[in-house]
Amino acid sequence: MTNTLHRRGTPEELEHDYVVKCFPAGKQEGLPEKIAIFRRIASSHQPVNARLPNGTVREVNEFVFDNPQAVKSVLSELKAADLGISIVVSGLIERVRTCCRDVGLPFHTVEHSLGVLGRTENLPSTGIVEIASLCGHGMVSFNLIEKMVYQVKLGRLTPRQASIYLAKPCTCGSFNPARAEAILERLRARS
Amino acid sequence: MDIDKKRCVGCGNCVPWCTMGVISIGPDHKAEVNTEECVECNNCYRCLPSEGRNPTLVRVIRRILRIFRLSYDAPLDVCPTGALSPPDLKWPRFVRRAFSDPEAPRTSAQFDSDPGAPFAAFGGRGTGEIKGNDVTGRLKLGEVGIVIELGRPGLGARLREFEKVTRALAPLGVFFEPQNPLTVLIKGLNTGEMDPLIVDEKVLSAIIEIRVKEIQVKEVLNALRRVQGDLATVMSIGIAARCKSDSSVEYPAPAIEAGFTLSLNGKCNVGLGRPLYEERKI
Repeated sequence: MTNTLHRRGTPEELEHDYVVKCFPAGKQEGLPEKIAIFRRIASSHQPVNARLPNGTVREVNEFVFDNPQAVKSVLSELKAADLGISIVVSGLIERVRTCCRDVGLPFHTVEHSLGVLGRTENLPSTGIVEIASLCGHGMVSFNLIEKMVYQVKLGRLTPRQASIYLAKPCTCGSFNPARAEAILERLRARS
Repeated sequence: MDIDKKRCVGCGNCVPWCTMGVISIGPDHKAEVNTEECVECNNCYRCLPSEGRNPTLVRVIRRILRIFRLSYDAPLDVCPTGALSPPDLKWPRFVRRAFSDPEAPRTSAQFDSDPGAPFAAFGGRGTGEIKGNDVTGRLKLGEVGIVIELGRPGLGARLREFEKVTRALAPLGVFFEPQNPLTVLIKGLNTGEMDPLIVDEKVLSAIIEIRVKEIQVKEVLNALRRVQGDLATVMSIGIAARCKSDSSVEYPAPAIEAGFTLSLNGKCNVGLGRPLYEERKI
């Protein structure tokens, strides 16, 4: 799943958007305990959203952070814990590279987005697509985002309240409500 | 998605939650779904729990309020009367849900209507890609993974659109990832022809996942550029590789030569999985 690969925004906005996920690949002894340790470490650094599946332990657990310092701290503690579970970080690649370098982790595999081709003229405005890109499965509809922008402009909802509605369809937990709130503020100011 | 017209009170709450924008309020003042365009993602059903109100009572109260030029708007994320219900899907329509609903079951239980349905064992839109690459070694040094997600962002795509892309890629000798659920629907891996039974089905998005040699990157990206003009939807493209010892990868140069710009953000596997694939091989 390309999930968190195509998140959009300016470098300044992406500075506040990181996802750390664990992916249990291969055979793992004591996986439930390892997942519990991952969750404890990640949740102790003020994530802005999380996915903590209740089903099989082989599902992806993920946490969203709004600053690279938290990512660096999480990586440092995960390295010390040596859980043996694959860890993937989504975010500004150079920022993540710096975090990894500081805690002594090399990149193993890296993935970039090359953008969107095809009928791009059918897409809505940039801000709407930016918010939609925050959900890994694209479950936040353009119409819902436009409705929320409208509600915010009318003063019926605050950007924070609207961002909570927008996070609701995202079952993978990768939606960043803090970034959505900032984008909604920007779109409100533009009216 | 099914909407029970006897229960629907036409509040319109479900309309904006539809990922494809195909729920509307009809001439009878009740919600209706364009089933031809619905991708069975169940987003409306999941996000709008039933308030359990009696439909007749709700209609009467709304009429009374209207007399006094008043109205009551329910919270934005409920269905007042529980009019929404996911239908029991059969093959091949179940393909829509398998690719569009992240909560769709990942077993063959839904395929009992046709045990021969080819991707009974799969679910989701793609694979773990690079997430476990430190352990699985799926992408090795010298190889490049390319993921082409059609329908994303937000427009959806018929599977015949995917066939246009697979037909453009197959002659280049690319390797279609066998664990990817879309690969299972490709009838001829040498031609890119898809199962004709499913090409008219529509999904929110799905991913064509291929592996190529570094030397093929530019050729493949050029092919994607050429085929984009034939598409009725959008495609989001991603590119990945195993890093060298200095954490660098080889694909930026050919991607730029093919006219693409690499994103500033992306995904990084930080190599904490154990045993590492390379160590396991030793």
